Amino acid sequence: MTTAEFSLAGIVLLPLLASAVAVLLGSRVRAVLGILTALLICGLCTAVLIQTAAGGITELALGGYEAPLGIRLRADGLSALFLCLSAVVGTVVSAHAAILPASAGHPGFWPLWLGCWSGLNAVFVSGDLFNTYVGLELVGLTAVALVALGGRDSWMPALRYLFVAVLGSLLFLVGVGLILAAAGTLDMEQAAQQLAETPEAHAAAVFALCLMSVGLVLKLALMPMHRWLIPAHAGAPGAVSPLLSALVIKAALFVILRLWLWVMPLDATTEAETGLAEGLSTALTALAWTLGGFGALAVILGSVMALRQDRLKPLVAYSTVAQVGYWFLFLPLLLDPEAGALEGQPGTTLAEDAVLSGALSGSVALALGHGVAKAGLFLAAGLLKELWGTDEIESLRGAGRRHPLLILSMGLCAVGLIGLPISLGFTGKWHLATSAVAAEHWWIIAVLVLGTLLSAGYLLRGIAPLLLQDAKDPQDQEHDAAQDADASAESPRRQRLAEVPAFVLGLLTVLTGFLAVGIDALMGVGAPW
Amino acid sequence: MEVFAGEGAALWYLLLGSLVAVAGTVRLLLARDLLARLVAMNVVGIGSLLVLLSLGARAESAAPDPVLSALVITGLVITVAFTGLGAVLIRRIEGIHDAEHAPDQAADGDQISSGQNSSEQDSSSTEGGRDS
Amino acid sequence: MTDLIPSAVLPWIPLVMVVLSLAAAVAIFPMGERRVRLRSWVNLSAAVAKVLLVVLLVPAVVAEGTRPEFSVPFLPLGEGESIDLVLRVDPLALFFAGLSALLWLLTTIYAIGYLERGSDRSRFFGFFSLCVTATVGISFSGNLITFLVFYEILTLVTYPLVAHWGDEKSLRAARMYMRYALSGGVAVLIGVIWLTMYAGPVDFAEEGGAEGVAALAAESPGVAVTIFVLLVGGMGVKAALVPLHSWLPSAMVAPAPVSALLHAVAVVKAGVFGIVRVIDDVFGIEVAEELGVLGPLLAVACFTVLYGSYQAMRQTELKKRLAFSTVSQVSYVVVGVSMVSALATAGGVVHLVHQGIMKITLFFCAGLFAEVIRAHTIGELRGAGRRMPWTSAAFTVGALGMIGLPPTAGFVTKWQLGLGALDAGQGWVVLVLLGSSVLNAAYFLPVVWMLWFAEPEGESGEAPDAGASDEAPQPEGEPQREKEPGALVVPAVITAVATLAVGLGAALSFAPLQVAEAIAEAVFR
Repeated sequence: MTTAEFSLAGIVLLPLLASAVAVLLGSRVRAVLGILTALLICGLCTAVLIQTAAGGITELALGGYEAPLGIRLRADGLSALFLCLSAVVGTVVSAHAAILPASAGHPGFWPLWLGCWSGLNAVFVSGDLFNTYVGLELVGLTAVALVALGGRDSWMPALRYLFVAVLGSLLFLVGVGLILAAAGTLDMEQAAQQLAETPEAHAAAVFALCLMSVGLVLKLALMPMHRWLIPAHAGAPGAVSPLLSALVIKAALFVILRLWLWVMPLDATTEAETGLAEGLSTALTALAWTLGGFGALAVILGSVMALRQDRLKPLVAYSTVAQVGYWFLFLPLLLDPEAGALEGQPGTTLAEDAVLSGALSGSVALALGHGVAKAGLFLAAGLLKELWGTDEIESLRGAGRRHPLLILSMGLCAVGLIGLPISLGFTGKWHLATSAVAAEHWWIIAVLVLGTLLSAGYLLRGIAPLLLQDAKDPQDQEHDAAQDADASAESPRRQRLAEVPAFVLGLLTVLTGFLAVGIDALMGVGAPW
Repeated sequence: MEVFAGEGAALWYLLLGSLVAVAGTVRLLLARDLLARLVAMNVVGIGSLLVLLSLGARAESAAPDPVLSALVITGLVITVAFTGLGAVLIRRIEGIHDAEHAPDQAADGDQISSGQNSSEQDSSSTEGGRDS
Repeated sequence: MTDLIPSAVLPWIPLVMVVLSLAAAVAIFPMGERRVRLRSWVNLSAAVAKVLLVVLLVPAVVAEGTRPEFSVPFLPLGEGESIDLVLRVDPLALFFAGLSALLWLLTTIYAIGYLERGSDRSRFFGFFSLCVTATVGISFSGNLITFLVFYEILTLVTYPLVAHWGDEKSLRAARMYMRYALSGGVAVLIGVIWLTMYAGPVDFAEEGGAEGVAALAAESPGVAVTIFVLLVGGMGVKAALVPLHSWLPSAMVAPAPVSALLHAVAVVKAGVFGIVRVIDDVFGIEVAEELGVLGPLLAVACFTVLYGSYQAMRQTELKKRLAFSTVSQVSYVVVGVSMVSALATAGGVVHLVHQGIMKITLFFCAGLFAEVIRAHTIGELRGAGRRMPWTSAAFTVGALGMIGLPPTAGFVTKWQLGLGALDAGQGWVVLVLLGSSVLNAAYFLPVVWMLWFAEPEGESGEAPDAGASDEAPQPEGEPQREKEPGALVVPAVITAVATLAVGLGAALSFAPLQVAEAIAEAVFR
């Protein structure tokens, strides 16, 4: 077993073990355990990352059983990227929760979060759909419980989330069953091969893809199915919302990417010329366009809704709904046979396969950038709510005077979410836009432009009033004093320190903007083309 | 009754499962009472598992696919875990309702919350068993 | 001359110059409000160091033709290739960087004096330094992507500066600025994406534009024209070309040093600088001419020149009048570069510097009038000349420069542009220049008259009790001489002197005009 293989197992099992141990410990020791686990996960992640960056796919058959019966863990470029996201965001948010226990809501945070982390990593390194399903469920179950930590106002949202999560899982599960029946295996690689070779299984596979996509999209809160997300993410405790928005929904996204690009033999289903295949290809194209259309809808309507919020956390939650839309815009490109028409033509600078791989890297970069930036923004918003007792933008006027670092962090995160340079948000939009131009899908450009401007609008609306200085208004100062008295539960030094994690995420939002080339190279490891 | 054996039976179960699942979904979306929704959620679960089982029976080999059975069993366990969590949440939410009428009971909240956490942990480690 | 900087160090200098002000910003942000001395020290030493670096680069770049370059991979392009962030120093870059370095130093001195009793100074100076970082980045950008990156950063970091006072009005103005600038930025982004698709990553080419773009223009002129419109239109927002200018007058609520910087070197200038780059170094002036895009641009620019002047005349508030004057004056640059003539291009390019020096003088003075005698409208300036002679003298020089009277910098520009217009066979532009000069005179001369020749209205009028006179009791009826704070008045006087100096010494080597001519010659080579 090499270091990378050992790390692959450790990354899943370690947090699970820690989660179990944490239940037995007192609440203070839990935080210490949590931080230790986080650091170890970072180390393990680095090992996997190094192996992947060197161009190798790490594989491990647990217990020595090979597929189809055994469980195979597998990390390619996509896995490595999402693993790193969860390691970085998870560690920073854990640090925040350790510094300011109030932000975790309840000591139950630690076992639940560590369990959730294990589930996330399991999804990211899973080589078969069974394992993916179990990981997704672990994530869903713990996420619901984490939302419920927010106190009585969050119980109802948590229940709503639970119903949605279960419905989504069951749809996914039936899809998994269909794939198993069609391909005879749940191992993703083998299933892809089987499906590509047996045209008669395509109908079942396409139907499975429909079911699974709908199920996952429910968990991901794509536009018409987004209602549950707002109260759940806005009502969760300060340290939980960032995890939900940055990581939990990414698990579903990751599975969608895997299914569409790695498992489905899209070329085989769209290129066959029999009558049935034609029907299937139409169905697939329709599905892709529906999801892409929902994505566009989400970007625009989600942003408009965000513009209309008067409270900070719901605003940030709606921004998540809007950003989710971006990750679906590239699907119609996948099935457009004309998409790569310009590749290699004289007069352009496109390389072979540049359009699709660009669109995919762009979407992944957007998702990763969103993870870091949204975690930072939610942390900051949660902390403000913690300190001021409210997240109404109107009552937070002038908060910037007392928390300049926090506002700066929010500004940096906003750069990433709007998609301004230098950030992964910019890189992602650049990629997506270049691919869209090359494939002559102009609607994507329109959505990107509208989304960018609207997001600047709602983020400014949320952040700018914090810069207002009403120092001359004595009433407000009294108000400030009252808020101060409220917040004195934690020592001022701790409060200052608690601003640091959000700032770290803000800085990372900008610094990761320089990693675009590396991310693209990683995406090439184990790419579907 | 040829239809109720072999391939035919599987087809019937497939239809039945789908019907149950769809009915449950409709109820889940329309019901207002929380407990009714929780039950509906379980109905959807049973319907989906039925569909899965029938898929396994449709396979040409004589013995049902072991992987599918494992899938169904895991699905069952997970649905149970979710149902438990849902039940705890519903009890809490109803508890608020009661507390509004009798404010003294509000102090119960913490007690329930710790209970919820340990049961929560149990269920997650059950799944973990499959993982390791 | 090479001994001045070892050649191994040379490529790092552009990076060092960008990092220098970035480091200053990072150092300043966490400083306590009261560490005035330390903050000023950091600010000034970074600014001085930057001026020195520019001076060191001048002989190597302008005389010897070396092009220090630093690059780092940024966006992947597939097949292991990437679009790089490139910092490269060519004469035009150095020209703009020199202006920003010099004016940063002066504005910093001014701002330290101006905000002596203000609040949130660490934030202010932090973002101020970031603003300069972005400006230097823009000037050294070696390709469109790098330009775009710094261009957007500039938008962002100016926002807190415009919103500095934190009242409703500032925030509204800042929001408007953001809305305009971001929309423009998006247009530029789409243009850059599109261009990259067809022509690959486009490096700024000093001599006659990039090859890929020329091929594109020959093959599908429609696409090339659309890209040109997107790029220039997007940059036109920052350059305040009519009808994209309305954010500029409302951004006047910002503190005086910010307005000065915004108008003279940072935002507005970044816009025109970008337009110059696009016309001369991306498309190349011949290609642009063949595409037929220069004529319409020239018309828009001429209209902006006249419309800005006309609006300026109608303003009674001094800062608003100056703002519209900027709208008008900055367009001279566009007028110059959109005429096909080396003389005109030189006139446009040199106006980058000339307008900067003159306008910053005027804004320094406007800030002084507002601070010392609380004069915000032109009527309130009655008789200010005797109360604030240094300020008023500097203002007068700046105003005469704007009108274009010899021997000021403004005259040099207009003369050059006029020659260029004749050379390019666009005689009507001379009429526009003359008309604009008349309008300039019509809105600046009354102010000058007000300063020196109008009798103060009433005895004390708006005069505040602060700034008591240290001279002997004045004769009855004479207004008191106000104390003009040194930190504020010295930069104003220096820029006023510079306005005269660059006009008088236009023929000396390394004078702005000479450098501009060299740049223009390269464009037409």
